[in-house]
Amino acid sequence: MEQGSDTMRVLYVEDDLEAQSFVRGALQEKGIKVDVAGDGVAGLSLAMDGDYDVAVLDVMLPEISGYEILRRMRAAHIRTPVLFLTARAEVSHRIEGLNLGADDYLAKPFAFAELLARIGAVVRRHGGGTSSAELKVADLVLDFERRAVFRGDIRIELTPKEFKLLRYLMESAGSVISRAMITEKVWGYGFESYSNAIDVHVNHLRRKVDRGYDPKLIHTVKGVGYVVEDRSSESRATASDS
Amino acid sequence: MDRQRSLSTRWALRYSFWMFVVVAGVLWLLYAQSRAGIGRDAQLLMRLQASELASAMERAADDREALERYVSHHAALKNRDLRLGFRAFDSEQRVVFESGSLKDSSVPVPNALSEWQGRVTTTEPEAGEGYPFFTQVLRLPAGGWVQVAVSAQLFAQSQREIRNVFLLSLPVVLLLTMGLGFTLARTRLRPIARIIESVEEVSATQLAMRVPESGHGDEVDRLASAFNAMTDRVAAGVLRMRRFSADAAHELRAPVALMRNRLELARGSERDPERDGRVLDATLRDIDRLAGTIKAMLQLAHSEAGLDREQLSKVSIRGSLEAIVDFFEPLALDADVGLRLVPSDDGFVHGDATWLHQLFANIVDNAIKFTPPGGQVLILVDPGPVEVVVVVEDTGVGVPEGEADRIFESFHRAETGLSRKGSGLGLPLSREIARAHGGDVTLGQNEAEGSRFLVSLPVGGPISARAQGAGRPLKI
Repeated sequence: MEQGSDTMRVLYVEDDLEAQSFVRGALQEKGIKVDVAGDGVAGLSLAMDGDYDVAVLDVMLPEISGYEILRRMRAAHIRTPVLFLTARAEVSHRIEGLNLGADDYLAKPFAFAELLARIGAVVRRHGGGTSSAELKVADLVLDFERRAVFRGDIRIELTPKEFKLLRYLMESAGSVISRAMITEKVWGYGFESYSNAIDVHVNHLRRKVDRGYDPKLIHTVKGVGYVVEDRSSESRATASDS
Repeated sequence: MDRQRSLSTRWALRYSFWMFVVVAGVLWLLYAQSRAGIGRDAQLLMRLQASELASAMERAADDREALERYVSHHAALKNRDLRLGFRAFDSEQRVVFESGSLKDSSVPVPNALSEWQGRVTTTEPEAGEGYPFFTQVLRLPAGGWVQVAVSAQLFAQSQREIRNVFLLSLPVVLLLTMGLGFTLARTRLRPIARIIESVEEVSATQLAMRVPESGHGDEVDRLASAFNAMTDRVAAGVLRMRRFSADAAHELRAPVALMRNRLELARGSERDPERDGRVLDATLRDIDRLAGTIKAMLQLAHSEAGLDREQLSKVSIRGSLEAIVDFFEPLALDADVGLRLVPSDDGFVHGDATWLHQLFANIVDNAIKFTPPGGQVLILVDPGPVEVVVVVEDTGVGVPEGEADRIFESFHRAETGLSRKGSGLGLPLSREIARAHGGDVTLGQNEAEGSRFLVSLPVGGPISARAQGAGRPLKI
């Protein structure tokens, strides 16, 4: 998300004025440039000629629904990634949105941090993920082909799920990944936030990857989720806001 | 109300119409019958007169005067209105004498008597008289002919009287049948009207209303008992919903009150960044928990509304449980609880994979939560030909006697002291999901310790159990 040099541009379509000002404020505070539309028609025209990194669309909009905006964007070959916001959290609607070619889906009420994490993930994914054979953070290396994880020279044994979890976190190294995102990506949509199962999973992973090593690489971001990064050299400023 | 009225009107009109048709038809038949009878009477009368005249002529032989006397006397005896007339012919068809109405009358003398012989002929009505004559010719055994004529007036009059009676009776009959029709229709519809009255009394708050059941076992009685059964079901549902909203309000009120107090306290005191941070964190955590509860409530509402048919597919129950064991394993490990899926054949169910997943996850989550360290959670799949049964056994605290059904009620939490985490909606949601699939979740026979949940799911899925129309999920 640290896109200081070239500012991220977000199209935000939302008819609820209060939600509009909150979200716009939160995004702008992160240095993101936000264009806001209050209804489907305005949103669609902005989406059609604007060059955005991501479009954040409410599903229920006056005039034209968020789904319809997405449909017309895709019909016009506009590939801007789309993230839906909706009060309708049922899985079938989520699937409907994703089937239409949405990149992610977030149910209201949501945490700003969650929204920021998801926007970051969507933009990153859209920018083309790493196609190299391995992922590397400090001395932690994840080798796709051998399905092996090394800390320096020491090979770490992981269960398939732990490997998947670590891979997901490392792919987004430096960006916060929420618990819900982990649940969806690593386990699929069937699981809701059960107890603290995700925390337990991450702790197990952490025990294998971080315990006895320096620097620590898996960090908890209070109220949101986790981030994999090497904080040994930089200041610890990024983790405090949630 | 309008519909009922129109139905009773329609029935009444139908009853009246058919009764009227039948009664009018019978009357018309009687009328036609009496008309024919009058014609026969006229014929009989004339034949009688003719044969009397014939025998009088025989007796009188050639004494014309005696004959005329007899005839005029005879004719005078007759009713004036009858206007009896005689004509006698000799064997050469020459008129021997005429009397009564045939004397100098317009009733023609037949030129071929044999043609008229034996049949009643109706003449053209006489000018000014207005009535035709009936006339008949008879051959005398001794040779010669007699012609008899009577005015049609009397017969026409009696015919007219009969017709008048017939026509006059029609409106009376119409009124009678309509009255009868309406009475019949109303009697028929009275039980239905009573049901309507009872139904109108029913409201969301007053569901105890019963429709009177006659016990005859007829259609109306069946309607009444079906209606009563429906009211019972709706009443149970409304009661459950009422309790649910009361429980939900209670459930949401407590954390809101807590948050409010916490924020109030913080607002009223000096700013202290560290403490303020703690307060905000705690508040955020509470809000997340509230959001979780609200989400679970929404899910419950959706599952109660039924399944989305488009999401149905053949679901591997074992596959679903393997993923769940995989997901919960670390949690169980931390809690020092053994979590194991006992090897068995796979079972398949036609259902919504996501919902089924949620169903099992809730039960397994619950089992781990209520099992103390050192315990075990065992999951068994028993794939039958009709239904797949999943058994989740734990060595936990178990469910106290009498709580067996209450644990499936919303917001109920066993007071075991072990854990008060969770929304209190997990097991109710599981049961709703199973029921939406035509199955159920029950608490099995309590073993020595721990609890044993049985999930039964029909292989055919919700199709066998649910109506087509209930397939769309509720939109909230």
